[in-house]
Formats: sequence, C-alpha cells, structure tokens
Amino acid sequence: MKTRNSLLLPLGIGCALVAAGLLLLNGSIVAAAVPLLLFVSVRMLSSPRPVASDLRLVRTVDQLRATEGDKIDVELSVTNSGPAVALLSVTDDPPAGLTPSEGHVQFLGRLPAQGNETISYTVLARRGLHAFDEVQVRVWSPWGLAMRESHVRLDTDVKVHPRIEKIDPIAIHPQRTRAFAGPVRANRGGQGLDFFGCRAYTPGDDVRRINWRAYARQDSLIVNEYELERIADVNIILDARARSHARLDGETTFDHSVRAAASLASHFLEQGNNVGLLIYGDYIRWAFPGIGRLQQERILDELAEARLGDKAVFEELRFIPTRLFPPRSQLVLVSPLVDEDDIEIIALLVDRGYSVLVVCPHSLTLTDEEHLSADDRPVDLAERILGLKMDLFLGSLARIGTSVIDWRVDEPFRVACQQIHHSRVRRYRA
Amino acid sequence: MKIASLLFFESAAGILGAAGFVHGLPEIGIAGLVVGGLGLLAFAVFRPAFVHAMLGFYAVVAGVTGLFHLPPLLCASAVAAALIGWDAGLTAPRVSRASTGVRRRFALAYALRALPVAFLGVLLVAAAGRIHVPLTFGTGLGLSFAALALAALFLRALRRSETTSGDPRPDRK
Repeated sequence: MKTRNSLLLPLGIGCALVAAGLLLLNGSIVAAAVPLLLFVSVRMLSSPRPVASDLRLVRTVDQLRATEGDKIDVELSVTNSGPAVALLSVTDDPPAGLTPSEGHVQFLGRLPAQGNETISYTVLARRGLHAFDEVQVRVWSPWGLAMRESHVRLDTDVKVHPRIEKIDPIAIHPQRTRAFAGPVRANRGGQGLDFFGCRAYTPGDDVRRINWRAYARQDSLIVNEYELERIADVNIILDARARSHARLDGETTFDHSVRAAASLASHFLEQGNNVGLLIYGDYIRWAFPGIGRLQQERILDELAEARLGDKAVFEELRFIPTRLFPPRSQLVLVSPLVDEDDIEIIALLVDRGYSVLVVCPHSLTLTDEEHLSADDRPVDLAERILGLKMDLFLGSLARIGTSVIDWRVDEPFRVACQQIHHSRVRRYRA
Repeated sequence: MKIASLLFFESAAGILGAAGFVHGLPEIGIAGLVVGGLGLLAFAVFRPAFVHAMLGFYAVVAGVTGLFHLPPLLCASAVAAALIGWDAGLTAPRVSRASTGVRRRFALAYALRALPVAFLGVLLVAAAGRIHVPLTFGTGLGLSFAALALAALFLRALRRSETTSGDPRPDRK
C-alpha cells in the first residue's frame, strides 16, 4: 500500500536520528526523532478499517458513441452499505482524450451509513476510443491521519467518431459501376434522366422513346438513349503516414484528413454507393466495402481509432494493396502529398483503370507582401516555396487525369468540395 | 493543502532560524533561513520528491542544531512542523481534483487532526526535559529497542496489507 510505504521515510529518519543521538550521546538529536516516531506510531495504530467491500460504485456515461466536440455527461455514484465513513475520497479518472470541462471528478467528504453520493461532470470529447478504467477510493481514519487507498476497476469504453460535414453532391466517374440503380453515371445507354445518344430502333424498344424528328430526316426509326445511373464501388484511402502530415494549432492535418474521409464516406453511402475504407500508415486497416448505415458506423469506428504511423515499410504509397479494390472502380485518396513518388503512384493507379479523386488538405496561407513584418518574411518565403511545390503537384495530378480537391484546412471542407463539383471537366486550374 | 504544507515548512524554518539567532549561533539561523528560502523557491514546482527532500533537509538541519546543543524542544518543534508540512504536501495531490470549497474544508479538518499529534510529540519532549530523563546506556538501549520494535511492527503491518485484498465492488452500467 502506497501510504504505508511513504511512512518509511519518517521512520527511517527517526531511526537515524535516534542512532546518531545515542552514538553522540546527544539528547537534542534524540528529541528530534520523537515527533517522527510518534507520528509513525499514530499512523499505524489509526489505520482505517477497510470499507472497500461496503461501497458500491456505478458509473453512468450518457453517450457511449459520440462525435468529436460533443459534451458527454458522466455520473459516478457511490453507495455505502456499511457503517458511516468519516472521510472518503472517490476520484474518477477520465482518459486523456476526454477533458473535463464542467464539474469535479472527485468526491471528498463524509458518507453516512446507507448513504449515497454522486459526482457529475462533463467531458469534452476528442476523436478516439477512450477507456475509463480505474476509480481511486481513499478512506481516512476517523481520528488519525492514516489513509487507505484502493483502486477499483470500472471499465467503460467511449467511442468518439470524427465530425462529419454535409457536402454537396460530388460527381464521380468510375469506369465500372454495379448493377443496381444509383446516382453515378455509368457511361452506358439505358434508362436514366440525362440524354446519352441515339440508336436504331430494335423490336421491344419503348415507342415513347422514338425520336420522331430523326425519323423524319432519316426515314428509319431512331430511339433516344439515356445514360444509365448506377451505384459504384468507392474506396477511400486515408494516408496515415506521419511524414505526410503537418502539425497545426493543437491539431495535425491528419485530424482534418480523418474528418474529410468521414464526410466523404457518409456522403457516398447516403447516395447508395458501396463504400470501403483503407487506412494506410502505422498498419493497414481495411473496412470491407458495404452499403447502408451499418457500413457507415463501421467506417466511423475505424476512423475513430485511426492514428498516425511511421513504419518504414509504409513510407511510400507504393504498397497500397490494390487487390482489395474492384478493378476500374473509384478511389478517393485523402492525403497531403509529400513528393513526386506519390504522384507517380497515383498515375499508376490511373493507368490501371481506377478513377482517382485526390483530397489534398494543407494549411498554406499566403499573406500580401505589404502586410508582412521583417520577422515574417522568411516564413512567408518558405510558405511560398511550399505553395509553388503544391501547385506543381496538383498540376501534375490534373495532367494525369485525376480529380483534385485542394483543401486549405482553415476553410470548411464543404466549400472546397464545391470547387470540384462546379468544374465538371475535373481539371485542376485548367 | 499546498499552501498549508508550505506554511508548515516555513514555520519549521522560522523555528530553526530563530533558535539559531537567539542562542548565538548565526550559522544555524542562516541555514534555517536558506532551507526556508529554498522551500519558497521550489514551491512553484511542487512535487512529491520535493516534499520528501524538504523533510530530509529539515531533519538534517535539526540534527546539526542538536549537535550545537540547542534546546531539544526547539529541534523537536521544527521537525514536527516539517513533518506535518511533509504529510500535507503528500495529501495535496490526492484532494486536488475536488472543488475549492471542499478542499478548504478538508484542509481545516486536516489541520485539526494533525496539530494535536504534533503537539503530543513536542509535549513528550518537553515532559522528558521536565523530569530530566538522563541519556544513559539503559535509556538509550530502551529507546533503541522501542524504535526497532516500531520498525518491525511497521514492516509486519506492511506485509499484511500487501496480502489482503478488498476492493469495492464495481458495477457497470
């Protein structure tokens, strides 16, 4: 027990003073040891009785699944089924990712027989899987200074999902779609809303689709075709390599990337697509593609636990396991691009028939030169160089035929998505 | 509680310093003041290690004071004050997460419990001085046996507390 171990110091000093006093035949030194030895004796004699088995602890957390930024109310109630406890301390220990914002995590006071006390506090949730584990219970003796401490295991797991931003529809054009009706244009004629082309009439075609003007010109029956709209396979790849991400004010671009991945996954799932997630960094985490709300929860659970990694084997995007993705499907890569090698890998993916959308979160903000102080100039110069490098990367991506969402993280992701939405050609800075 | 701890430590420094100057030993007085000053400076980085170190310092200074034949009552008082400061310093982090009002009430209750024990120690020394217990071979041997018995009892209690277990019942909801 820690409290008893701490008595070793005064006991040791007391014994040393007694020994020194006796050796030197000095009463003053022996006298100095008396309070120490008396204190240790009192502490030992007044050791509080164990009340542990009389206490019943219940922790109630109002949300076991929350979204980052939410406030979670926690209650810890202590019920005493034994005699009164003169002085009791019960301290809850919220995990590091859940910062107490209101209330107090400790009860300190008298607990009467059959009494009940509750401590309530509010924590601010950060993304992650957080586990409450131990509650510290300390009992002081009724008349002495002695204290007994014990730890009670009281497990409660709280999952905090990344924040999701509602975004406007994003046009994706994978080369292959699935068989079910959905929002993605399949680049094939059939039943749909948008005009696709004309072809010669074949028996069985709907007569309402005959193009009478074309018939008048060509003297043969021509029918209009509309572009099929199907669901698609969308796989989101989240770059979790530590070297790719920059630290911002208290956060990293990785936190923003996770939010972007969550928003995109929710968006594509709401459209009815088959969505999967691959986290590439410390390890490879793979949420098998699926549809619906359950799949959304699965992806958000994976994103909640996503963390940066610095494994040498994953330093390059080269080892993305493309076999996991259906051929010619849509890939969404959420990554602040690091170097030319990343562009090469993306070009390779495009060559293999994947349609690639790159979401590139960064924090580059260029200030007007007139408003710069002398101290800011080197920083501004560095930012300009980085900005030029980023422009070069994004230009290269546009040339190889990928769509790009250039996202400066101090603006909402929704706004960045609108830019790609409006440029249908999907050429970056054409 | 931290403030209470500091106050007790500073009282110990004050007792030692005053005793040194009053009894014509300015070195002891200065040593007391230096330890007190160090306590004040180190208060910003209040850690358990610091609290242990302070108790050690005061015990050493009190021992040295005894060597210069200062009255035993003053040595014992200084050590008693430092001891309460040490205990308050160790208790402070254990109650730091309660609300301010509760902490204040606790500090008051703590002082009410700690001071009688400290006074009892000083009173014992004063009583020993009054009845003139001579420090002979017999009393020395008796005191040594008492200290050894106390240490043995302590170690036995420590071992027993490590083997017994009785955690409160957790209840999950």
